[in-house]
Amino acid sequence: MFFVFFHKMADFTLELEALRVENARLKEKLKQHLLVEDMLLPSSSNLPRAVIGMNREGGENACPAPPWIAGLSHSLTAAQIQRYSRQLLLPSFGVKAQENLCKGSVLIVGAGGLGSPVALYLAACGVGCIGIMDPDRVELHNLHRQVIHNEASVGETKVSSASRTCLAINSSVKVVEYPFGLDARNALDIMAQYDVVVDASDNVATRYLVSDACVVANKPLVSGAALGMEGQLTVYNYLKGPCYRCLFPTPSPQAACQRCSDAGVLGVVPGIVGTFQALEVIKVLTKVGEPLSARMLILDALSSRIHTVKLRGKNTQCVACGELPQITHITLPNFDYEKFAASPMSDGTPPREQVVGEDQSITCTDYNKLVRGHKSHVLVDVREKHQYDIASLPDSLNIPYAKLPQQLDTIRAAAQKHKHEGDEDMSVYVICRRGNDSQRAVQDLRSAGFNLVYDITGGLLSWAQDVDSTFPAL
Amino acid sequence: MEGSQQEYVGSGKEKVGEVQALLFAKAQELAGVSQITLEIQKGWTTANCFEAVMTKYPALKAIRSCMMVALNHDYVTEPVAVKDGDELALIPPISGG
Repeated sequence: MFFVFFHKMADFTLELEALRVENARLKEKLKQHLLVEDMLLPSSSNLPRAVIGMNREGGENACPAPPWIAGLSHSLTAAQIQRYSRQLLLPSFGVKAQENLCKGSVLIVGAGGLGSPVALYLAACGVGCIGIMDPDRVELHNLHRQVIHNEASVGETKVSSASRTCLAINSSVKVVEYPFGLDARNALDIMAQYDVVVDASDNVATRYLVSDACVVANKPLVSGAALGMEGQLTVYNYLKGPCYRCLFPTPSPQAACQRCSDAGVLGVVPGIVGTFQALEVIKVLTKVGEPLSARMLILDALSSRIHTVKLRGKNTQCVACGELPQITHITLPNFDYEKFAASPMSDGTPPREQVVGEDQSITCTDYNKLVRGHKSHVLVDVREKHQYDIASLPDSLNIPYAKLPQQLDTIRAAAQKHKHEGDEDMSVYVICRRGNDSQRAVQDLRSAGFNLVYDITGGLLSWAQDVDSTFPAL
Repeated sequence: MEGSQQEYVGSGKEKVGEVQALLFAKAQELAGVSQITLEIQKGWTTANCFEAVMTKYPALKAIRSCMMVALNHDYVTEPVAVKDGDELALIPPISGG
């Protein structure tokens, strides 16, 4: 009997001890959960943040406030202070600047090479609300510069991929997704909801629209551009500075030739420019430092030089921000920006031109049959040499379009070499990347006396699509 | 790359000094050079320098209306007198992203 009682006492003691341990573990877990929840609260919350922190950290007997809360003149929580400590420590920055970031909002037009670092850094530094706008989906050839996306996001919309990455870095900011392009009709309504606009777009038409809309909506515009090995950066429409139109009243007639998809770009160049844009946004939102208003920063990545050019003030004759503006909240939604810039609001494939008739062209499929039938001919590839060197069709002769007039004899000699006794004139086929330059080359060669010259319709992109899917068409 | 080349443009007349013209972006691509040394004459302005560059590199005429011109890092709209040692920059906008 006694033994039984003793055993039960021992069991009870053990169980009690186990429960104590479990209780302590749960208390600790609860504390951790509350801390994380505190960190995740939306920054737009109207609750006084310091008070939330005080209750949470007061423990079982709730309150009194920890001594550090007393006399606080800011609204940052303990979690925010921890997260942003390294920028709060900056003497020129401090709590006021951080509060301004946390309650600030920024619209980023474009989630590509420029938009990637802008969004990453603005999310990381705690900008309260970030709008990201882009109509495109992630493609493999974006990844060398658009570092906010990754292999898993290929095929996904750029805004949802960018938004996910931003929230993975800082889940306490709000990200608004706009999976479509900025246009004259939606621009003013969307911009009205933000403090600052970032132009991270990739085409001239959008650049004029973003600038005009920022003037009408009265928003500072942090504008960046990158192409090849160069970058440009300016803060427009801010502190009496000029707008984009004050500097460039007429669009470049060669605007369409300045796409990254044609001219190429080294990934780190938009990375640098976009990072500079994030810096300028922070300066505008926090009113710390001297923003790049009425100045343009020009990055020459090849020689590692940065030039800063002092710009003009507002142009009083400017149709957007001048004394008698023609672009207003009434006229802007009906302005045809694509027509004005003579280029589309995208960086995508330009429309195919029709220069030569069907009797002077051949489809890739038919050309392939001709090659397989061993019909002797000359194939001229008119792309630039550096493009030709990436990948080309066998037995083709590379004569860049710009050098064609000086190379007519080379083509004549090649035709002669392939010609067998009794053959008629040798046929010459011309190919390029998309089939536009090749058509112009066919015209030029016919004018120069070549009779049997044909364009290979759609160029190497069509070849890859219709004949050889393994051909790396760019 | 082509962009690192330098060119010298003589005026053929009484030389009073030299101005360095820097070409950026599309201007550099069209001209095939990044920097031009211009011999200037008495009374020359930024406009004379600009025209001298256009004459030497006619391909640049295609974008002449959309280039920003800066003298010694200051944007200029009206012709400004130039002197020996000045730096003139021709800056077309770029639009990629």
